[in-house]
Amino acid sequence: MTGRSDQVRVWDLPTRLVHWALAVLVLIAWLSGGERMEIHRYAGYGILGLVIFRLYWGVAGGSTARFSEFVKGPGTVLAYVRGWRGAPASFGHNPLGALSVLLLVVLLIIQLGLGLFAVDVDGMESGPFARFVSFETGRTAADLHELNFRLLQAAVALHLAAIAAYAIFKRRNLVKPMVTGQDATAGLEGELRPAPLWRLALGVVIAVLVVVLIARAG
Amino acid sequence: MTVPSSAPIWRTARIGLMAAAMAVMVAACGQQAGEEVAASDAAVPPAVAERQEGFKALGASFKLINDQLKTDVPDMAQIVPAAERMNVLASQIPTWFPAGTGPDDGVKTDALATVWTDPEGFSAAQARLAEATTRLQELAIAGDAAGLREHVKMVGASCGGCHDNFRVEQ
Ligand code: HEM
Ligand code: HEM
Repeated sequence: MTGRSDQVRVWDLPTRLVHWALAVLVLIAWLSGGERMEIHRYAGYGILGLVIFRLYWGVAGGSTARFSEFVKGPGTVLAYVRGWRGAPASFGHNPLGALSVLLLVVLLIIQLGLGLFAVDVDGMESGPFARFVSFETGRTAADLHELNFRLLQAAVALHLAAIAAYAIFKRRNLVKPMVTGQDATAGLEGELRPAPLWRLALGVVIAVLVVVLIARAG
Repeated sequence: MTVPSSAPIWRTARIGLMAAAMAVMVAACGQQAGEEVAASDAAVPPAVAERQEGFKALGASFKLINDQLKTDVPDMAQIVPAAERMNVLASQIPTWFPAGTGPDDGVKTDALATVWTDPEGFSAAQARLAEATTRLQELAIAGDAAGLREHVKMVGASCGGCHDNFRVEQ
């Protein structure tokens, strides 16, 4: 009975690509931040493009990527948490996982916004919008950029802990579907309604345009 | 296959895992908060306040120059006074670190004790900046935008070179 037949498609390709590109670029931004600023800037612009695209994809993408499909009200989240042990496998994001997505996206937006205004202590390296603010304001942005990064790290740690928890206590492999797009969990019900290709193209154009405009402001 | 979800060992492990994740997060936030609080508590002696203001002014002038150099037509009327200001401030640095204003004196400062224990190294780092800002001022007066764009890297490296050895790693 094994094989492709009992796999269901949950994540479309753009959603998966954005996810793993984010993971890699956030790691690069972390390692290069405050040290290799040329690399940091490019990683930051890459993340900016990915986040812009992901926000767009959250309203125009495949069904499981859409905020309106996976973000649930507090009542649903609470009920899910209460019955966590016995809850059936969710198709796409579960109500709690949706919150972790929102948290990561919000923290990334704050991180990016602060980075655009940040000035390093030497007044040498700065984000493209730093020239619109004073040195001191730019320094404050840099300090908050560092502080928010700790929160982002904590959110990523929680994200990874949650994935580990699903693997250990619910024997659910969430990583593989995010790689292949296919979920083999038994009894999974739902259907991914993919977005047409032109929507993908439009999203890429929007993201690239916005990043180029922002980068050229500096 | 069923999950032995009610087995006590799983319950214990789950609670342990959650607690560990929480602990890591709280520790991370707590450490950060602790640093901020410690930083705002101690009184700042006038000499320390003065040098911190001085370095901020140095940074502000350097930022102004760098911002101008990023434009197509840098405004030399702004760059020249800023370069002069930097040169003056750079020459004042040796007066900003009187004895008794280091971290070992219970003063809240980002200066490392090496400022006082390695005076030769410290004044070499200061001299390097002073030379760089003198040249910066010359290039500004000459209106040489291309030369300035190249030379600011040297100035930035002079700031960074000192911060690496004499200032708390941020
Ligand atoms: C080795 C590292 C990582 C692994 C194994 C991993 C794994 C996963 C998995 C399995 C999901 C799907 C969860 C679900 O079914 O609800 C997911 C979603 C997500 N992860 Fe990660 N992740 C990693 C790193 C990161 C990093 C560094 C970030 C960004 C800071 C990140 C941001 C996100 C976001 C935004 C989503 C939602 C994806 C979407 O719906 O578009 N992840 N991750
Ligand atoms: C989500 C994306 C980003 C992440 C995760 C990130 C992370 C970091 C980290 C960890 C540091 C080092 C902080 C420290 O220890 O001093 C840093 C510094 C810095 N980042 Fe980002 N960054 C991001 C985006 C950006 C962007 C888009 C820009 C602007 C183009 C930017 C500009 C800067 C600057 C100027 C510094 C130096 C600040 C200083 O030395 O005080 N960052 N970043």
